[in-house]
Amino acid sequence: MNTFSQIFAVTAMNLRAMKSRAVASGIIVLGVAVLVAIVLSIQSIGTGYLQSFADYTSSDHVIIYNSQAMSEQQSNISREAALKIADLPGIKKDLQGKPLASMEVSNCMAFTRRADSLDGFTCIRGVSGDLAKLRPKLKLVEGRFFTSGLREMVIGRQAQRRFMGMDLGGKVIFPDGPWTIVGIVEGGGFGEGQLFGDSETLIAAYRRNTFSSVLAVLGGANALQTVKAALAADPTLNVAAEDQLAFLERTQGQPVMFYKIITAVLGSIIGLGVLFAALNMMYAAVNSRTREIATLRAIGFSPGPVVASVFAEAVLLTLLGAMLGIGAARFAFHGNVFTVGNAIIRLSVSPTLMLVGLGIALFIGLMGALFPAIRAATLPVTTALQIR
Amino acid sequence: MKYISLIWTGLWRKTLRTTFTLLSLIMAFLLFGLLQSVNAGLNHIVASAHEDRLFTGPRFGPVQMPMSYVKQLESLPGVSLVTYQMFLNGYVGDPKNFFFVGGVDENYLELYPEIPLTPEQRTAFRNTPNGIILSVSFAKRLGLKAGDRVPVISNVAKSDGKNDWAFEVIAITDRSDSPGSFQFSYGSYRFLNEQRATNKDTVSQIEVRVEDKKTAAETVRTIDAMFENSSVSTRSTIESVMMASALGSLGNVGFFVTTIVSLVMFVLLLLTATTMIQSVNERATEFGVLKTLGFSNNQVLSFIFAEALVQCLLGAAVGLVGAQAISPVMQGRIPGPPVVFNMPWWVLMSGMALAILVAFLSAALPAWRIARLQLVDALAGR
Repeated sequence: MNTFSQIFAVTAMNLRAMKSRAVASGIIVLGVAVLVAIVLSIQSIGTGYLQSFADYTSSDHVIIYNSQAMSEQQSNISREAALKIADLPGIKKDLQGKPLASMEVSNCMAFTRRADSLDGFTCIRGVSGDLAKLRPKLKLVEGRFFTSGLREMVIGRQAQRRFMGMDLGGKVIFPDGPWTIVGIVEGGGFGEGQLFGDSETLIAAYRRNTFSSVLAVLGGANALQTVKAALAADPTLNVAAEDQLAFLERTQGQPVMFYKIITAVLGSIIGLGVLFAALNMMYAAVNSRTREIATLRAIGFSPGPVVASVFAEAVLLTLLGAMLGIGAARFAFHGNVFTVGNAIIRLSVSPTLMLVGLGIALFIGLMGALFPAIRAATLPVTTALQIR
Repeated sequence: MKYISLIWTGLWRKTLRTTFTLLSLIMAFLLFGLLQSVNAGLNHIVASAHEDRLFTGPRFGPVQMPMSYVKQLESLPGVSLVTYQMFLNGYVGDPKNFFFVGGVDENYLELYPEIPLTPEQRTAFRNTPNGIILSVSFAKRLGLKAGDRVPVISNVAKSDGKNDWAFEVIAITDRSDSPGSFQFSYGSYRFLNEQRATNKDTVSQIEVRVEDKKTAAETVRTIDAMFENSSVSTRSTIESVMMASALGSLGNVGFFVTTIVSLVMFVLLLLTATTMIQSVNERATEFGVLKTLGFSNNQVLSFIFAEALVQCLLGAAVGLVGAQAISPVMQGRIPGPPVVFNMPWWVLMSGMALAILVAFLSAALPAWRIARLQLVDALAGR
């Protein structure tokens, strides 16, 4: 018999005999399932948070902000500067020759949560002109868009669900009095938890004379470099340009690291626990097959197929566990609404994350099988056959 | 007690199996200890928040309130102390090294008796215009020590038009009620207000102590009503309510912790039970011998239970002590709410109780089998 048919024969025999070790095998499956489910469900927060940035931004959008500011809310850009920025080379123009740019103001404040009547924060964003122009991913599902110059706003569906009094036709109190909610938008990730209004009307309401940032559509090859070069040529502006997604990740991305750390700490502790359990069970499996393995060796099977059968068993069990864990996490958490700081996001058990789960399971399977397999391969045949 | 060596030998009959089971137990209880400590730490934040301290800030985003508000609040009945802060944000060296100073009045620390300063530090703080007081975790994050000069780039411009500020670390102290958890940095309001180019004589946050905490909610409403039609309207909150609302946005941590711990403990129970069954089955003949020698059924059963108990308690003890040892390392390294990573005694106790429960449950099945064991079968190895 060649090696492959030996491996096949021994593995098949081994798998048929697994019934007698049902509980031990079940522990490996269950342990890996629990580990994978926990790791994936915690990490789905971080992944979902990043995904919400991607769902909100466009790859050809650039944000221009005050270079000293560490967040958009701290940034100030005067009207003259904002107009100058919108006219920079590299920024796309519409059919009428007007730059595709929005002078924006972002401000975060507390509202009363529906759930517990305590304060929760969200941001209200002022945009110039048409909301749909630079945020095509936000889909209007109820009411209409706000009218420039009026105290009207459009709110995200998640903001509506989260805060008291935020319904179509409802009023939100601003420094210059009540604003009416005229529309509700869905989609757009990060944006779904926010409020939107006309930026000129908003800065008048805040009694400020500056915007926070300018959001613009890039046009042409190397447009971002063109914009950056133009900004560098005018030091009076004192602003910086950055890809919209990169800016969000840099200024709002701290929770991602937080969840990575939590996942890593919990994952390694539970992972080690499950690995030791798997080692335990795989050693027991090899022990229970001692005579069988010794017999195979005595009738001429080489150690290779025996080792392979041990690995096959462990990998099969851990992969089965991974499927269960991935399935549970995906089924129970994927798409659920979750609050991270001021942002409302959807948990994401993404394909990449599922692959990570498989990888963890595979690692535990291989590590858990390694030493028991060595034991099986180096078993002294004569003593093994004497064991009753 | 005289059978302890018998139990110990039985436990280590298969060294590898016992080692791996112990290691799994240790990991499970390490997890239990860490998660329960975090949960306890979060509850501690709410429990230790004061109900007589109020914060008043601008209602609509980060604007400044005029200094006159402070005077107006001082005249409110039932208010025993009014103090304030102005916020200066910035970074040291690299924008990643976030830095802030709360410019405070001289009476500010009266509101926080839990921040201890020596009389010398107090005098130095008063006499050094650009002096700052840092919390341990804040100083640790930026690698600062007392006496250091800190160059800061800020979004607040000085009157010379530049954004570079320089501070001097006077003292590093901590909140005595939650050591290691809060990040704070206080400087002199007078200095910052003199130096800044704009927004002079305004404050970012007003902090109030009421004489009777029962009037706190009423005072919050009174304050916000006072300024409702002023240039900057306010939103006030009680410290304890603010903490509860911050934790509320974290989601239900208690439920999360309970779910993870129960899942892991369930797998662990299956694991120890299986290894106990294997171990007892292999030694059925020996237990038969013990019974033949005259040990009573109860004695033999107690050996089995004792073995499981020793194993589980050993694993739990090492795991919980490990969690206690790791906790200070996590302090200040995990961003998020100011949690004290410190294991309260009841976590230790409930961990040990859980270990006893796991031991009894996992020993029950094999013990039941041994109790019904026919001597003839046992000695024949059937």
